[in-house]
Amino acid sequence: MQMKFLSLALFANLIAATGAHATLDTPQLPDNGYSKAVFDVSHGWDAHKEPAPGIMILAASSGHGTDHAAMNQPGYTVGDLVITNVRAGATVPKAPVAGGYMVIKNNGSASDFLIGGQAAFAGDVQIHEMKLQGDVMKMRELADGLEIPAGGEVMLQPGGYHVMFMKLSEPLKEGENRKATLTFKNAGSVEVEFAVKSRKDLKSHGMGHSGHGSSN
Amino acid sequence: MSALHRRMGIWAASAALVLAGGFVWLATTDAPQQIAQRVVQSSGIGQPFNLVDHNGNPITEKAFEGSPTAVFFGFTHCPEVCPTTLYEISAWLKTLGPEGMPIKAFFITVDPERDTPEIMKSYVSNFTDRIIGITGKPDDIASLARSWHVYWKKIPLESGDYTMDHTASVFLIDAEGNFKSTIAFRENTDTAVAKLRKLVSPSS
Repeated sequence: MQMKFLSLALFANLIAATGAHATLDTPQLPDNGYSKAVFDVSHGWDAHKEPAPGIMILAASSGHGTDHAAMNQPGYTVGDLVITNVRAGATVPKAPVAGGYMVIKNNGSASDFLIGGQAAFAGDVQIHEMKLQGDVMKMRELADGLEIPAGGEVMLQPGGYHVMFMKLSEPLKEGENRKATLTFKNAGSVEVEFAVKSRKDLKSHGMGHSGHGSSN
Repeated sequence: MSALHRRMGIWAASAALVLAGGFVWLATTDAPQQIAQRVVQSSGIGQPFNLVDHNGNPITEKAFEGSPTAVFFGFTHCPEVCPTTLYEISAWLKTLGPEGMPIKAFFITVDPERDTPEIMKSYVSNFTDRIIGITGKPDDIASLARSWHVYWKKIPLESGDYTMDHTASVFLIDAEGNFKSTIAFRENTDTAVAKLRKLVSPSS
């Protein structure tokens, strides 16, 4: 828990430091010609250098029971990676997109990258990073994938990194389990099941406040 | 974070204070009428508009008059902030019960190219019947968003699709049309409900 509070405090500081200037930028709606590199227009936010707020990258040796430990769901193993707490947000009918979340631990000695995936219920699966900068929500596609550092653990959770299911063919309903394939640059592909959770459950799990993860 | 950025942050904070001062000044000096005009013209926040509600009917700034109002800018291709906020606005209104009945809530799309009135309706109505979706011509939406100092930007995705960056706060306007405060994304539920309660009954 201490680590969590530390991370929340860092989050607050980051928000304070990166702060309000974004909100007073001149708003604009480029009508075309926005095909330049995504990071050119990110107002100083470099997703590769600055982790998104709320994201914890825990050292594998931290020894803490993490939130996912209590999920009654098996982990998935592909290469040196262990994937747990695989869940997705329930959507309202006609919602075009949904977010997928999980914890990925890398027991290997080299970095790997989550680069994409496939799902029967989505026309496209991308890896995104969301970040609240001041009061502006920003989202970026991680074109080179999400790095899972050697010996490290990365959480995909509401407010940060997520799998973005796009062009949904049907809503995701709470309580369902939805199969999808995740693809890693080095480890290859693995089929996992996303447990569809209500927004509320998703949030409490993701933020680690609910105590759901403390059964160990 | 560079020193320049930090300085810009301080600048922005100062500007926000000056703005906030302006609101207080307006709130104490204006006649309690013609809200939209007041919020809009005097303070530089908001402006008259001609848009379309999610039932396909014309909607203007008059819709913000006479009742405490909550306004949120977003879009339907939004994985988290928008559905969470719509869900939370519904929950806050439910918590307030009869006390919150006077509150009107609007969800204005910053992605009018994709968010037609039909799409807005099918999306918003799945959360609550208390929120009205608003869309319109891209230029008109842009003009309104700009007048609210709302930040938004289209961000291309590799697939040829795009997403939107946008201000994620809910704006609160009182029954006289004064901009009162904002509710930030992930603001504590009790604080959010308290702000809405104050919006309905300023003296309580």
